[in-house]
Amino acid sequence: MSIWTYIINRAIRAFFLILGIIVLTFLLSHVLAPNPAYVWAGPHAAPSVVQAIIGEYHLNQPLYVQLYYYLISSLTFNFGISPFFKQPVSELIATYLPRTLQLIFVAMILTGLIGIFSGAFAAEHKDEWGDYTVKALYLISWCMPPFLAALLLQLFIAYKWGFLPPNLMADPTLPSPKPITGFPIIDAIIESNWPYFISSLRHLILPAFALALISFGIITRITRSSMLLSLNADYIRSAIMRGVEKRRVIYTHALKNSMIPVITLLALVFSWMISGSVIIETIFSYQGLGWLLTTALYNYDYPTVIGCSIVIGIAVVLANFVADVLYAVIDPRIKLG
Amino acid sequence: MGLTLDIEELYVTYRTPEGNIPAVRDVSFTLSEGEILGIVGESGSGKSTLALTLTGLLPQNVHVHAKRMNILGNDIDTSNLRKALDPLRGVGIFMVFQDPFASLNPLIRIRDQMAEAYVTKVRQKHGIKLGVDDVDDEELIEYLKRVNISDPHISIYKYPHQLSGGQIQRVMIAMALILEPRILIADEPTTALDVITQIQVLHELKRLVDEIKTSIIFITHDIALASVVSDRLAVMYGGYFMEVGDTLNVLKEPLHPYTVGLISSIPNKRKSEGYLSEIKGLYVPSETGGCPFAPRCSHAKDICIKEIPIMREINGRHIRCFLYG
Repeated sequence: MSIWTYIINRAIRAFFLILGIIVLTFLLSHVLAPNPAYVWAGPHAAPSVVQAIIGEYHLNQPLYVQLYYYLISSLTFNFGISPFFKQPVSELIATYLPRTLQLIFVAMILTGLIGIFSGAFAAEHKDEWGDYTVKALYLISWCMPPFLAALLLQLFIAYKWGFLPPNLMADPTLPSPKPITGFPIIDAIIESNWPYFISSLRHLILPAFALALISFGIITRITRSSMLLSLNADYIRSAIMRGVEKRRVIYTHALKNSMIPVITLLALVFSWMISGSVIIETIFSYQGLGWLLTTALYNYDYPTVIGCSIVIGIAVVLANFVADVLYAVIDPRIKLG
Repeated sequence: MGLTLDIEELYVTYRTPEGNIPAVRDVSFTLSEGEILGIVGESGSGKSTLALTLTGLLPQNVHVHAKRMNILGNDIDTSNLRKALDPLRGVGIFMVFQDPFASLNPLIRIRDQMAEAYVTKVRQKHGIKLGVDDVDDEELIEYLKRVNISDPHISIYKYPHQLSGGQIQRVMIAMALILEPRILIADEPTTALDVITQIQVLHELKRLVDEIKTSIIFITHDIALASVVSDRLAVMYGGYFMEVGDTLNVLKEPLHPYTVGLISSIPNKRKSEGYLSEIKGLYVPSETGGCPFAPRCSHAKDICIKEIPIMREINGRHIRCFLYG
C-alpha cells in the first residue's frame, strides 16, 4: 500500500468520525434542552417569537428531518446567529479560534521541548539523581490541577515579581492589527506592528507555559521509557558494533525510534490542550475559543456552545489524522499495514 | 600465524536481586588469525554472554573477571569492558547478531546503515572523518554484489523490513566486508533462516575468511552446522567449556559424555530407523558446586556432584571430565 492510499484511507475515517461527532452533538443538544427554542428566545420572549424560532430551525419537524438540516448546516459551518453576541457563530469562531490555536501552538512547542529533552535526559541518567529529579518534577506538575498551576504562575511571575503581564491578550492601549489571517501575532507581523507583536508575545508566554506545565509530564515519561527500550534494542548494539559514534547512536538511532509514540502522544496532548485552554483562558482572561465557550455557557448562548463543541471535536479528529500521517512518514513499516 | 584472541580464566556473572548468576565460568581459549572457532551449546549455556563479553556490549549489571584478556594485542581492562573495547569495535572486532530483523534500525535505509560502517572504516584506518552522506553509493553497491544480494541497486535504498532475513544477514556480512574486522563474532547468524539460506549465508561467512583473513567465532546450538564451517570446536555447557578440539577429531571421537550425546542426536542416514537418541533431562543450575552436566550424565560418579573437574589436555584435545583423570 502506498502512502497515499494510507492517507486517503485515514481521511475517509476522519470524515466519518466528524459526522459521528456532529450526530452526537445533535443528540446531546436534544437531551439537554428538549425544546431549544425557549432557551434560545430567552426567558421572557413572546410566544410569537418562540414560534418564529421553531419555524426557522425546523424544530416542529420529525427528528430525522431536523438531523438532516443540522448535518447540512454543520458541514457548511452555518451554526446560526448567537443570541448573546448578536453575530453569526461562524464569524465568532473565525475570530476566536485562531487566538486559541496560536496559544496552543506555542504551548505545544514548549511541551514538546520540555518533554522530549527531560525524557531523553532522564533516560541517559537512568537511576541516577537526574532521573529522580525529572521524575519528581513531572509528577508534581502532572498531579497539580490545571487551574492551580495557572494561578500559581500568575501569582508569582506576574503579580509578585512582575516579569510578565498577568492577563489579556495584549496591552489594550495598543491599536490591534486588522484581522488578515485571524492570528493576532501573524497579523501584527504582516502590518509590522512591532509594539503589538511584542506585547502579545509577552502575554502569550504565561498561559502557554501553564498549558505546557500540565501536559509535559506524559511526554517526558513516554520519551524516557521509549528511549530506554530503543537503547537496549539489538539495532543499537549493532550500530555500536560497527563503530557508529555515540552522539549519532543516541540522536539518530535511538531518538528517532523513540519519537514514534511521542508523536501520537502530541496529538493527544493537542486535544487535552484544547479542553485545558477553556480553564487557562478563563484564568488569564485570554479571549480565545475557551473563553468564548465559557461566556456562551454562562449566557445560555445555545448556538455558540454547539458551534464551539463541533469545531473543537473537528480539531481533535484532524489532530489525530495529522498524527497518523506523521506516523507513516516517520516509520516506513506503517505503510504496509 | 598470530593470535587475535587470548583469553584465560574468564568469569562473567550476572548480578540480580535474587543473587549472582554465573553465566561464563573459567573459560580459556585462543583464536588464531584466519581460524574459525565454533562454539556449540544449548540455550543458557553462556555462549551469547561470551559473545557480548568479547564485544563489550554486556548490560550494566554484569561482573567480568579474567586472569588475562588480550584482544588483538591489547590487554583489556575487564572492570570497564564497554569503554575498553570502544576503539576496537568496527575494524578490530565486529559481530553479526542472531535475529536479522532486529539487528538493523527499522527507520534507516540500508544504504545509510552500510555507510556508517564505511565511515567507521575510514575513521579508524585512515583517521579521516566522513559524513554518512559523503559515502559513494556505487561503492556500497559493490559490497552488496560481493555477497550476492539480488538487485543491489534497488535493495540498497530499501528499509530493513523490506528485505528477507537471509538478505539482511548478507547485508551484515557486506558490512563485515567493508570493515574487514580482524575478529568476526557470528552469534547464531543462521538460526532464523531456512535451511537453504542457512547454507548460503555460511558459504558467505567462509568466503570472508579467504577474502579478508578474518578470525571467526561461530556460535550455534547446532553441532552439525558448526562442524561444517569450523576449524575447531568448543562445546559449552553451564558456562564451562567442556571439550575443545579440532572439529574432525571431536566429531570422529567425542570424549566428553555431553559431546557424545550431542553428536549421537544429529539425524543422519545411518540412523534412519528407530528413534533419534537424545540427552535426557534439562539443564538445571548446579547448587552443589559440582559438574553442571552431572545430573544428566550416565557416567556420573559421586565426585562429579561435589567437585568440578579441571580442564585436561589429552592428545591435543582439552576435556573437562573426571572420566579422563
